[in-house]
Amino acid sequence: MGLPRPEELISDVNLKKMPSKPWMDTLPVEFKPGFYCYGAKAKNLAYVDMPNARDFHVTDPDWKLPEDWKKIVLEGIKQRIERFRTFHVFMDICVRCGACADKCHFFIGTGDPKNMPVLRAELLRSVYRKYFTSSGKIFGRNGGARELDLDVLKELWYYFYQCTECRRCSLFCPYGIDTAEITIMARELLNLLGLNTDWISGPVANCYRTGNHLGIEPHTMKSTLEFMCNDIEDITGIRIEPPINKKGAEILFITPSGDLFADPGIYNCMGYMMLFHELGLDYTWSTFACEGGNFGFFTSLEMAKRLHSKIYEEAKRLGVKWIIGGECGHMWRVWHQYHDTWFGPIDFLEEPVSPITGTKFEHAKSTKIVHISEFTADLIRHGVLKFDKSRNDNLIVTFHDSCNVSRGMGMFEEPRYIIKNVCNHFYDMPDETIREQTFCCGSGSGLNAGEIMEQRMRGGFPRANAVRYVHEKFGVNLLANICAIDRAALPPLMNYWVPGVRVSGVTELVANAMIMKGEKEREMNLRMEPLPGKGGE
Amino acid sequence: MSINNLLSKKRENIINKAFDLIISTYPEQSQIFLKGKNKKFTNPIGYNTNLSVEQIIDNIIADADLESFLSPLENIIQIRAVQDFTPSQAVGFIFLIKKAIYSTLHKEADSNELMELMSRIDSLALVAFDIFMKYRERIYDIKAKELMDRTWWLLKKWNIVTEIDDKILETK
Repeated sequence: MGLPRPEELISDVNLKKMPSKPWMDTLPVEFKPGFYCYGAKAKNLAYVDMPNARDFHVTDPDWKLPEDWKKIVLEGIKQRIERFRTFHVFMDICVRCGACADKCHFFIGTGDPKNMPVLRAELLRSVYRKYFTSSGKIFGRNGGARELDLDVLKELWYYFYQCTECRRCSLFCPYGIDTAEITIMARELLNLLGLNTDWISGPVANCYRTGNHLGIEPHTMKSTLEFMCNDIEDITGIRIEPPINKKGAEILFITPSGDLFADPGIYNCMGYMMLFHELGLDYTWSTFACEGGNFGFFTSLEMAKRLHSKIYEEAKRLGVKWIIGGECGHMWRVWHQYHDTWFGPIDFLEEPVSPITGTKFEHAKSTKIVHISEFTADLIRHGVLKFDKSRNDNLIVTFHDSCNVSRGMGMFEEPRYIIKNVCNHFYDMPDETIREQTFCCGSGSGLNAGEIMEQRMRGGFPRANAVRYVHEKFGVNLLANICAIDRAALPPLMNYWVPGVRVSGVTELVANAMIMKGEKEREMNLRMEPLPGKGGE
Repeated sequence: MSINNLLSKKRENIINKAFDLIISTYPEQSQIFLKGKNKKFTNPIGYNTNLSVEQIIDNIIADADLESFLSPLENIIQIRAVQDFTPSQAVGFIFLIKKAIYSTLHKEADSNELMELMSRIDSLALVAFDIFMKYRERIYDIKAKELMDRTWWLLKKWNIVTEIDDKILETK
């Protein structure tokens, strides 16, 4: 009969046990919708002087590359090997033990072998071997080396924009190879040819022009904060006037612009203002340095440094003493791991000391910036704040450790300590999915674009799977986190995998429970929903 | 021996075969990892697929109604609906379960009974398609909602859009 059996339709290769192709032979990459981000636009690349600025469409066969693109990439590799000892070592020392192979959320969620960190890195290592090692030059393919051609370049682009730089794999590498660093280098190389994504290059250009990724201009930022203060007044009866660009304030406050704009980040932003108001903190917002996040970090280290510098320029201009940073992910990785290399210790600010408790934040001696969760946990530890935890009694909370703040910075306890002090119901997810072993949201490092929703859903599956467990076992209905990308990425992830679980920042929970001086009896939470016992469940 | 008793006797064998067949729809280099079916949190594809196959086979043995198949089917299809599969590949694992049952039982089972069972399992393929569409539609809803979450609050605050609020309704 001419018709195939159903099982033959399902998989025509594997079921017949045909020998699979070696990974080098599975080219070219097929660009399917849902699997790749849209290409960068000419105007965004040109605005920040990135090379080869032109509109670039991923599915077009011609990527409009410069004629000598291969030379540019190889020269780029050479420069980076000479400049970054880590990159050179990481290219050489992998013994392909496989310890990292099953640790990547994209591999776990897709089953695509090229999402194994070892193989993802091998995509670039094979090119490195061919042009920079004797064994690769002599043995070629038998030595794990391959020529750089257009198909290989497209494969590099495809898979290095399928890594969220979360570093879970590096935790398990016996040599300490940091695959995120390899991704960072690969993206730098791709950016030499103008091969960025729209979702990254747009925010970079915006941030360079207006000071934040979203392109919120100063008057809009001011109005937005005032809108929030109107809502705060409706909820608490307290009128807050947010200090903006206030010269001589003690503290500059920097948070990711997602908190100024999108649900549910806005509730966290209201929480910041309520907390600072209650403390009577002498702080200021800036409409110039109004972005904690740094999409330059997903482009090149130079671009990251360029965008990061505005924060200290503004701190200097306003004459503040130190900085508090809001709930963000990669912003803290940049600060913790790169800032000192770029700028060294900052000498024109003071070592942060909490004006409320007198606590010296000694770990911030060099960068002069303190995380809002460290600041808040210290306040709670000193009994400065009063809480009515019952306002959060409708919430059964779990906490998602954001990759950058946990693995990239080592902060595990403060947010949990805060949550336990402002909520009565808290349950952690299983050990192998939290703290340093946390699973990524699947949308970090600039992969939060709408066009790759399927990729985000499968990449976030290991995280969602653990949430589903505590949802079913303990009735968890709120996934708290301290990262703006998480606040944007986790609501869709929950809507797909675990409907019934909402997402919030930690400061939103603090502000809900915090009893403010002179407040009216609260009927609503910050989302303007009835509180438990006030018409709410 | 009735076909249900036979199924019951060969339960383990059928489950293992069906699970292996379903995992074999993934790239070959990944199958060894995905077959680690006890790693609930570090291999959720393998764990959930195996658990669901077990439930489906047990439901078949117990002559359970269609309703009770929905949860295990959803569990598998929800995963496959966002992976690198065509729609037919995403839901076609039902035919792999059939294949596992048929190849295990066809020598011993009464052929009429076996044909009847095979035909009934086909209904799961129809339901699987409904479930697949439900999750694909959920993706589209999520894409739309993500855009709303990013913009709706600002549109309201800037009075670009106005919703009917409760006060207006009371005075109507």
